[in-house]
Amino acid sequence: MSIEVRNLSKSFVDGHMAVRGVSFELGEGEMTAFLGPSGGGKTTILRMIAGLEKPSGGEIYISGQRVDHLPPQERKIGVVFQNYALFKHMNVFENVAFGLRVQKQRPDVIQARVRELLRRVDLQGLEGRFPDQLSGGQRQRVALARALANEPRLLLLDEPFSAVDAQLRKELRSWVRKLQQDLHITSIFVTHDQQEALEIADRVVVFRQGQLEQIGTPEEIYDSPDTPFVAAFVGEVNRYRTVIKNGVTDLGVLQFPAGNVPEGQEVVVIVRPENVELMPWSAAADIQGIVLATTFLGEFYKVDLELADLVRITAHVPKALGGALREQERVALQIKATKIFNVA
Amino acid sequence: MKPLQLSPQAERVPLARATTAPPMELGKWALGSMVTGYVLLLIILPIGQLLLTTLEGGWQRFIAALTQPHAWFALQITLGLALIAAVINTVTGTVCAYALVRYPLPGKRVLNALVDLPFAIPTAVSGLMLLMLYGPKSWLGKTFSLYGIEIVYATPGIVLAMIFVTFPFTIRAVQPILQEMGQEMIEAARTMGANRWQVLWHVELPTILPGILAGFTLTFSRALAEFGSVVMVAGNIPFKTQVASVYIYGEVENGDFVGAGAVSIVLLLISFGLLLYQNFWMKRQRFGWWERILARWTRRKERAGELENWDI
Repeated sequence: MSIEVRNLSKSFVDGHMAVRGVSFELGEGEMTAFLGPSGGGKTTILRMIAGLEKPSGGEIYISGQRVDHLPPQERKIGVVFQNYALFKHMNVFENVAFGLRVQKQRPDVIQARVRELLRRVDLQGLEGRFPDQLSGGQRQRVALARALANEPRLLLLDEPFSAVDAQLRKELRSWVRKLQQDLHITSIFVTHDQQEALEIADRVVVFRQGQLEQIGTPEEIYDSPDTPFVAAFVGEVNRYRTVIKNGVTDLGVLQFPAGNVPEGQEVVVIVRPENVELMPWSAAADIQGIVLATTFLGEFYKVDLELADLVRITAHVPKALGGALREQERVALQIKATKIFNVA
Repeated sequence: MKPLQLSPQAERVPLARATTAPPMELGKWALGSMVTGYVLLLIILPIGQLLLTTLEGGWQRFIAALTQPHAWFALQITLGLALIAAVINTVTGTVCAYALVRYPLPGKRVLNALVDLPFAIPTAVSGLMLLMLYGPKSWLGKTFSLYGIEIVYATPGIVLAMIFVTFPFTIRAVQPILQEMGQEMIEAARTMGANRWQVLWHVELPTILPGILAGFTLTFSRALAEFGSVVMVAGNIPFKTQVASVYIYGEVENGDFVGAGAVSIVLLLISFGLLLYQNFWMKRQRFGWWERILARWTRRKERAGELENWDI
């Protein structure tokens, strides 16, 4: 049940190019996150895969079968909508049974299957409830059961956790992840929350302005971003724009080796705050700085520092150390990892 | 110190508060009785007087007034034609609302504004317009009479007038529900394997059904009561075009208040019944019966389950 997208594009009637020639391939049984800022085209791509939006160009294959010309009802996919889109005039049972009914399944088959699905999503006993009598989490589980009723080849979830509060969101996403793994169903979910994407996806696809920015495992996306945009989108970064001079970055005290980047090349340097280590000040240290401000963030302190030549940097430091820091205090710094991107 | 134990004094406090009404309560009470009094004066009192005057002479006179051939005919024809008008308008109104919401029609905004026009036009003017258009001197009326179809001063004219004045009801009852419904439910149904017809029958129609039924009851009640346009288009021909409201007017002119009142009470009861139905019964229904009817209609030969036992 792999899915392949080739050179997919979409322009709307108003001329807006929402998707510009996107290609990728996703493996069977994987959970993929479409990540990106709003307007990145991720929802449009999801809707094109679902058949709810007609591509302006390109091809979509599900398990090797070309589907982009098929109406949604012939694609064998399940979709969970952002606001669930439950049928208000039907109770929980009928909502879940809908897909089976329109496929003209036998009543006893429908009964058995709906019961099984409701057991799966832990909603037994609520068959007779109507959507307006359910909590947000229950509605989402109905939407999920409903999407799974016809044994889809592919499950698509459009911002599935955005309509519930933060606490429930965490519970729901690990629950959805577990269900997805149990069923081993190829799934794609759209999100703009990088934490969510990194936490439950096998693979993350980052979109920006209708183009694919990077595709990879959460580790690859976080640790070896292909572009400064990806680096900044999937976590906190210190971002510097400079040139290569004498084989190092020309950033005053921050002289990172250029590697094979040619002399004079314009670059963007990315340093993640957790890769900035603070140490007691010593006159011999290569990099020295002054603490401007510390902010307590629960699990760590965010420390803003000013280095020589007015270069600023943000560090994430452990509680024990961060709590002891004072403003205007002098410290020594060590940068454990950086990433240098050529500017085109 | 026993902070958890309530002192006798503390227990008394809420009681004391309940007996002395603060100024807000007084204001509420005054406003409440004002509204009640106003409704009483404006609605209950006239209805009471109607019942009193009509039933003064006893039930037998009431029944006699009602079963008087003119009265009985007027009631029958009014109910029948109002029903026809309501059915026609409910169907066309639903289609119009659907088209206005779902399709990018040219001149949609103008069309949408025109829908309300029959409400704004005085009904006598509506009647006059229809009379001029379909009357014996007009080209259209002449064409119809060539084929032996009478419109003006006949029942088709009454139905036409009723349809015209009640035109906006169903559209305006269905339109907001359709708009609010949006596309998501329909898209969800499509991804679950429903084709366009199944979406229409199982998702869209049941969702807008409350609006359709509300439109129907409103149209029917209003058509029952129509006077101005009907009398203009169809006149006042006993046993032909004399509808209930026109009959009532005639009886009053003749000084027969019981005859007028008897027919009025029947109209009133029907309207009141529809109103009750609209307010209390319909709002609680979730239209499971609609799905049941559909299931009966579309019962098909049972097919062997095609779902292989999916491992869930």
